[in-house]
Amino acid sequence: MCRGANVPDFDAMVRERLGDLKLSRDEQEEVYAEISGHLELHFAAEVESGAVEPVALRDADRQVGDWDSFRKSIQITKGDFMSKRLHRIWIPGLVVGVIFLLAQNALIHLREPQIIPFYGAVLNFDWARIPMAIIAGACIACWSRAMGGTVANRIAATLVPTAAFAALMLLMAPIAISVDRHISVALQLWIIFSFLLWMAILPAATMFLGALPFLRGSATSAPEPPQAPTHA
Amino acid sequence: MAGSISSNVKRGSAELAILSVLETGTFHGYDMAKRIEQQTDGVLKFDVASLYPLLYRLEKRGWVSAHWEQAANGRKRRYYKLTSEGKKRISPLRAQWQAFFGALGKLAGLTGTDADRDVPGGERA
Repeated sequence: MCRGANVPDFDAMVRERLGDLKLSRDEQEEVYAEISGHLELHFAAEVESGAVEPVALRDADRQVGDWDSFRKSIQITKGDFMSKRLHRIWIPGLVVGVIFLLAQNALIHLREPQIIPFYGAVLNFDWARIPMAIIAGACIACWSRAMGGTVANRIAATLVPTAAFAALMLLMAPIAISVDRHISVALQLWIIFSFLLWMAILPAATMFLGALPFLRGSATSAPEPPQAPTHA
Repeated sequence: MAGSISSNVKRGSAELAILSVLETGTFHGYDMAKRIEQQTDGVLKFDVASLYPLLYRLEKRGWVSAHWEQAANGRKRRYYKLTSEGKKRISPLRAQWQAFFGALGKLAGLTGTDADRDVPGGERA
């Protein structure tokens, strides 16, 4: 390509200088490949025109100049970071979470929940919630993957329903403690902890189990079909 | 009426340059930058930092589309081409820029001949 010139490893250089672009793995790889390909061609053309390799390399590097602002620019234009987060984390997590909650309520009306004694407190629990949580977790991770979500996105999406529920509980806790004065604060905190354990932490772990099969593999966004070249 | 002129002149002109090149064929980024430089005698130059964010923006708008092809040396290259939406956008953009340069020409005398400028009190179009 450039008369046997010692072509630098532009791919490694671009990866190192651009770093994590906060895009899906496939998109990130595409950006690395495209930019390094451009720099490689630029370097080759410079060498062809008589430049010595260090000068050609410096000139190729100057094509970008400020790598930090270039990375930000790519993230803004290509990434649409917030929108992707919304579609890969928040929407799958919240939509499936709400459906899961409605299904749980329906279950309460259909079946008599079991009363479980738990260190002085009692909990209403239906074991059918476990397979429901596994299915919910699988649905969330699958949806997030279909939207191009990374593994981290899929895990985050799976934790959204229970995290939102836990956050709501913790926000309401001080109000409950201040209103319900005939129960000691220590007991109320114990009840809140028990509630969080059974209603947020354990369902989160169960949902995560359901999500596990969908945490492997890259995003399932369909690649564009190959097209015939139209120029020389 | 060409409509109002975009405040972001630099970006707008770069968009028109890219779309105009892609009107003539399908090119990868480096090829596009070279063609723009050659066709404008080096007046317009696109480096990596200015070219790719712009291409990604045009792609997101749906004015250009991209696909990968393998070059003879085994290297994969991303080729860009105009979409039907992009083709529709070129004419209004051209009209906008013609209006812009026309207005600037009237204001700054850019369209007058040298003779006109040399003669004090000479009439201008």
